[in-house]
Amino acid sequence: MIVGALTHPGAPFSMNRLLRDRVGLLCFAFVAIGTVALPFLAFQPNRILSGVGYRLWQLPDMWLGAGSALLLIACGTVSLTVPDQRLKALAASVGLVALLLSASLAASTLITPDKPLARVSLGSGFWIALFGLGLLVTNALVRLRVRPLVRIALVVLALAILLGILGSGVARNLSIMREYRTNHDVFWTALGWHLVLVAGSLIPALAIGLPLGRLGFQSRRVRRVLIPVLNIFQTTPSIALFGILIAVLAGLIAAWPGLTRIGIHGIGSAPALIALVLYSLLPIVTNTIAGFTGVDPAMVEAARGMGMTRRQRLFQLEIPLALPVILTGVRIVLVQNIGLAAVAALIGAGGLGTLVFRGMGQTAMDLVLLGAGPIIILALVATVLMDALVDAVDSRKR
Amino acid sequence: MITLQNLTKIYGGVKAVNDVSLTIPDGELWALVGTSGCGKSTTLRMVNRLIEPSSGSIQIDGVDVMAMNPQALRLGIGYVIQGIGLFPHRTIAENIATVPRLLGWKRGRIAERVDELLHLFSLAPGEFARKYPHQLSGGQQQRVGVARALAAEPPILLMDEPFGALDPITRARLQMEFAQIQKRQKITVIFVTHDMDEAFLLGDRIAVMDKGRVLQVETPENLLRRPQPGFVSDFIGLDDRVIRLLSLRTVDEAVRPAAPGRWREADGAILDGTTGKPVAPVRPGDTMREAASRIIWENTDVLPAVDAGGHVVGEVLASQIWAQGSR
Repeated sequence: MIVGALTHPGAPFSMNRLLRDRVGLLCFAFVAIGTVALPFLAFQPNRILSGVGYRLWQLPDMWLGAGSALLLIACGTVSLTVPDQRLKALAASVGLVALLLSASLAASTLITPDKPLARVSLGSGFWIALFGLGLLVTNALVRLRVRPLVRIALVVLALAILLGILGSGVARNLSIMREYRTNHDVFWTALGWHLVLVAGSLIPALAIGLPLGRLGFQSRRVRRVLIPVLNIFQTTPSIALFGILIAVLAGLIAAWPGLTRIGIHGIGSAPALIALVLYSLLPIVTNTIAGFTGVDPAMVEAARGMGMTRRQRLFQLEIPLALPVILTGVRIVLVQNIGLAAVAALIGAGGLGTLVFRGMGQTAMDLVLLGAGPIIILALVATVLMDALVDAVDSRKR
Repeated sequence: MITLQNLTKIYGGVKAVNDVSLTIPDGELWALVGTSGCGKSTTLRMVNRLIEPSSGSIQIDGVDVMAMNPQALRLGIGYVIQGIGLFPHRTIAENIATVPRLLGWKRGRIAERVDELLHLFSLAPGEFARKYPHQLSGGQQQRVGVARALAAEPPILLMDEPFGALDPITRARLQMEFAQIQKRQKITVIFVTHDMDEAFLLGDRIAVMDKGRVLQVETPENLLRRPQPGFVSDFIGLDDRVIRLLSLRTVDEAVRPAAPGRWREADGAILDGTTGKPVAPVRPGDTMREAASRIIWENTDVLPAVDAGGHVVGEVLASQIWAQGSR
């Protein structure tokens, strides 16, 4: 009966069901605390000085503040109480949009022309409410078991809404957007480089890792040597690996100065790409081995007995059946490298890490956020897209 | 006709298959039996060159298989294994269509053949064609496995313990179905099994193997009546050979006319004409083994025999059954 109440879309309101939804209750608590109890925005007289916190209801424009708080709590309440997961997701999504809009509008009421250096940054209340609402959406979507294509469409839609709001100028008075305006050339270059680092390491990693994985699957001896070596790379801290590669490349360049002419330098993108490729190999190789190992050898043998050639067996049976596991490895690599590429900024490889480290150097948290936010979004988008892809190619109809 | 001549396979100095010579006529099913590791599977797998022989030769209709392209050879020979090996990411129809597709058959011809095979193996095409293997029971999957092997109408079928993983009831049903199809379509089959009952049920001839050698090749009846002493006798198990002998024959040949009034028909039941008690009759196609167990159970020396319509056509005497089971 309880299960029925939890899952049946048309089930009536039930206190019992509500109390059992622990995750939902926790998320709702985050939304409520974020909008009522914690500072939603921080007002700073200038970029460096620490700010004064404003709770939503403490805003000068009381109607905006109270209205926003009520709207956000209403979205949270609806998302918590309606039984239909689609409505849950929708209510929480509306809440997310409302959250961003109310922060933007509230920032505009705090910034006045007589305080040109003043900044309004996002406070802990905003972040906690964002976390709560985000979790409500994710939780509902996971339970809905959304089909891969729909998931991809939802991500594209979410990105479009986010970019639409940020691009419309509503949010222009939020300090992070101000930071963006002063740094927008640097931002797009950094984002571009970040993607180049991620893609530029993924492609060679696949080109090397997939054949190595196949080889490792076929030969025990190869596997015995390969995995420990790749494990060493994987466990080497990224800073240390970058450092070692600078030394190695510097040594190589000293021996063959011609290398600089083809764009290889001791610092910059060359060591970063090499390091990222090395980090990618273990997940790709192990997942390739696991993928092929999961293919029933009796089936492959039966196929051989029926007259399928080695190539036909590989491309018609083994690869399609191993693909979901291999792609899971690619997903791990993608998300891992989106994060690791940020560290590569330390050796001058560019990428969004540049903004993060520069912001840390200047104790400008907004600049840090301008770098870190997109990294997180990239990682999230990559996760959702790759998961959708894994599900889509899972031809082992379950 | 499949001819194995002095076939030998050596693994690390050990003769897994040792000087095996067999000549299997078209349309017959030969069972290779023996304990695990006796070389029966290795012998089978040399026929379609999944394993290359160390010495000796295999000819199919006079052509040496070693002279053929292995893929082309295998495309012309059906192959069924115990693990079935259906492709989990392909539908039942696609699985069955595997070899015809590799052979480049036209789409329409493949679809027709798939339909035909699904019917043949009592799998309704509308229900099963688009399903995936995991949606089928073990018995249904094994049917598909055999159907897939027969898809391109190969004259030869190699089967490696194909029904080994099934429950006894499903196995018995599939064995009967397969025996009918094999005889009707006159497929030459080499059938590897360690299950003697299966070998006696399906085999036109049984080759008993031990330690890589073929010890005896006989028809089921002769093997039961005159097994070589030693391994063959032990492996067959002489204790219940009577039962096995009785399983080999049907009661049809033992039915003789009954005296008028000996049996009476009443409302579909058969009554003993003298006592008036109902008795279970033997039916066409019943094995002598079934008749024997009924005779023992009823503690009688005669059973009525009915035709397919359930009408009394005569009777079967216990003594005739016993005669079949004695030396």
